[in-house]
Amino acid sequence: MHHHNHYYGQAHILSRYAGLDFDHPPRLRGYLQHGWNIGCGWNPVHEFYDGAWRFTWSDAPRRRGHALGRRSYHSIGAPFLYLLELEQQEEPVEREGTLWFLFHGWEGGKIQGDHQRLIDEIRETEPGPVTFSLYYTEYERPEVRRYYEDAGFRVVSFGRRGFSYEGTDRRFLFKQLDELRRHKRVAANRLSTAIFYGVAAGCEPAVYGDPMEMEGENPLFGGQSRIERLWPEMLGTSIDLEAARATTDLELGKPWMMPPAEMRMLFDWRERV
Amino acid sequence: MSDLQVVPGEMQPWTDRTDDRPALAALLADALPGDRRTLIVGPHSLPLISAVLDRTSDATILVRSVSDAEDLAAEFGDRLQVVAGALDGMASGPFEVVVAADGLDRVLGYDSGDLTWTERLQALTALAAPDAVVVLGLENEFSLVNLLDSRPADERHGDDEWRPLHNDSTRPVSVGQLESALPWTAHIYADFGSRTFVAADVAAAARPGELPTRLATDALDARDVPLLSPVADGVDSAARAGLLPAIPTGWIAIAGIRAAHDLYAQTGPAVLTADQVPDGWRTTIAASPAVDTTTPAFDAGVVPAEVPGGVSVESVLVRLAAAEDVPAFRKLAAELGEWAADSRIVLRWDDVVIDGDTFAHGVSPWVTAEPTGKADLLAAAWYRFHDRLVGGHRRHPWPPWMVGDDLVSTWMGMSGIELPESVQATSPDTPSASVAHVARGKELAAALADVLRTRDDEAVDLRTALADAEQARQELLELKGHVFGLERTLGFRNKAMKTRENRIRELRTQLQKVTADHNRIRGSRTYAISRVIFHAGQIRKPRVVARKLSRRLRKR
Repeated sequence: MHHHNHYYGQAHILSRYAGLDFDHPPRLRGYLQHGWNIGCGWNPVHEFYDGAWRFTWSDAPRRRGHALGRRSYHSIGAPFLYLLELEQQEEPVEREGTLWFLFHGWEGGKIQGDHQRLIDEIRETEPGPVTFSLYYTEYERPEVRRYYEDAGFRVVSFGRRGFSYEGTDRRFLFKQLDELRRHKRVAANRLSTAIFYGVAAGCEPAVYGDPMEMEGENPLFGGQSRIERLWPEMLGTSIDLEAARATTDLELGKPWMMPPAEMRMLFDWRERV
Repeated sequence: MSDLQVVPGEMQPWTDRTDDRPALAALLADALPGDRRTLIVGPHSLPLISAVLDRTSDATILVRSVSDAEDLAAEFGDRLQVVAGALDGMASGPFEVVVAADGLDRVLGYDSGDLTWTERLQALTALAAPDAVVVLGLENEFSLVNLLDSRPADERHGDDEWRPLHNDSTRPVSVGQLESALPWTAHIYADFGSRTFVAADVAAAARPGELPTRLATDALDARDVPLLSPVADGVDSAARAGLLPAIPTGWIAIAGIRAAHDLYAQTGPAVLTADQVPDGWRTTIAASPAVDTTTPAFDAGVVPAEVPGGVSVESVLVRLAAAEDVPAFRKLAAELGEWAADSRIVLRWDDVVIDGDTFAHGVSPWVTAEPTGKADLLAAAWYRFHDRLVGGHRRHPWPPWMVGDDLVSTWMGMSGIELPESVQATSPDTPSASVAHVARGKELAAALADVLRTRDDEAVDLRTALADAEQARQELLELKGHVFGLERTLGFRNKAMKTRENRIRELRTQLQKVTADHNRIRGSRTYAISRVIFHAGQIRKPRVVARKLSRRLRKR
């Protein structure tokens, strides 16, 4: 299994859903998409070993990957959707305010942008209290975090996705889901995974503000302008919830979800646990 | 025995092979008028001749082989006048009925003139009365089987082609050309491998997955010809184009009368007939023979009198699998699971028809002795589908390690049959739990495949053979990739273990340092004094202790 499969504890969630060990998920025979994107499900320069199978969240990345000459895809639905099934709410919490996600960098690239301008826009837009979520790459940059703390926002981070099986916060998505369920709105400055997760978790979405730049961003798949062309219904401060839910179901691959026994066979987990 | 008449052009020694062709016999029985002076031209099987003799008491047959003629004379005696010789040597006539269902390719001898197909037709026409009923066969050189024949041209000739029969520009190679070439107005049937006959106008309207197309595919698949690629794809393409009547192995033209049904098909030991009605097909099939104890057994009674005109479930499943549309595939599988029930009819998706919002059995007459459970029937249907999907190298989204019992089991799960619990592998060859889960269905599917098998030679076509080889190469590539992936994972795990080992070493060094510091502190004077002070602080009654201490000192 590629170590990316452990990112955000996704393999752990699928393992638990399949009735296997959460802490030590069995090896997954292929690559698991770990974030929503407008390409084939992985970054443009991701390396794949020959004959590898690719497990995407939905059908669109499969189609785009096919056009790149790649085969051996099977769409399975985002692990976050399986988490929603595993962690069903007994008593819904009263939702309040907005959980705001700053477009995040990664270990290989930091974001650059006008944070103060973004804060002003958020203040003008958001009707209630704001919780600001930073990925650890920004959370651990005091010069970035301070902007939002000084603005009076509650600043949170859900942990690290890990690398080479080290440092993965297995409960990353659990924490994110818990926060999403406490908020009425989910917002971000780019259409991103967190927005789709938020809609799936019952939040009203909003995408606005300076999208910021990331060092080394690869525009191979078309970048922000392509997002604006393809998903206009997901952009703005006030979004039609029904349309957003329909798009979210497609992008997270809800129709592609499968029962645990089928998943065990698909991942070759059946008798090798 | 009747007197054997010999006319010019006879062949000896020689024999022409004939096949039973029960569907054609049924068609002739329906088409031929009774009690007319009848001529059978060319080699025909005994059942075909019997079908003609059932309609008339005045029949003559012309065959080119003397030994065949002798055998026929011995077989039918006075009921049949037998003539040995070539068509151009036959002078008597005219006949009110002429049956040349074998066509005009085996009616001349090696001593005959080099007559073209048209000249042979003229010779035949000369024997027929002006208002005669004529049944004429013609081999189709543009047939799909001919186009896909993997043999080069110089290997396709039989012993009877001392002159190439097919380098004849006068031979019709389409329904239109045949109709134009005939001196009579004729009703044309497309002849698929002598097993299925479909009225040309009905065949032209048939689309992929519909009854005529399904039966045509099965019939062509039964042909014993080495092929470049499977016929099914070609049949479907032709049906999409409305060209099904253009690609059969031959045609039967019937002039002067119409046959009773749109479709005649050999099915097991019987013949199915079908007529198009607004919503589908009205069918008839010969009564079941004596109790058949094999599994599956033939039972004509289970074939519905009316079959919907929709496409087969298999054609839709194949399309969804190719589109990798698993959600739609899952939905259809679930609906099939709800529809299926305990039954004697062996379930097969290539003969279950989509009928609006539900499904209906097609024309398959194969049953089990006793009703079979729904789960086993579904397993049989999915197993047959698996063989046709995977064996046919059709596109689908399931990884190779699932192919086989696990994939069948997965589809059964989609149909609502609970999947078996996982079992822990105790050795590399521990069988999957799916093996037992699908075992009965697998048996049923294999038994059905056996009764449906019509070819002695099960050699695969060239494309399938190449695809098999390519798949083996791909499997090797994927296994190499799997090994690479495993090594990579081991590398990552190894790295993680090294990280932990280094951490343990760091902690051990820190522990040693802390222990050394601790020991140094314990050996110091300051520590000793602090211990005395500490113990002194623990004394609850200092006066009592002081008195005891003083007494001890005094004793010393």
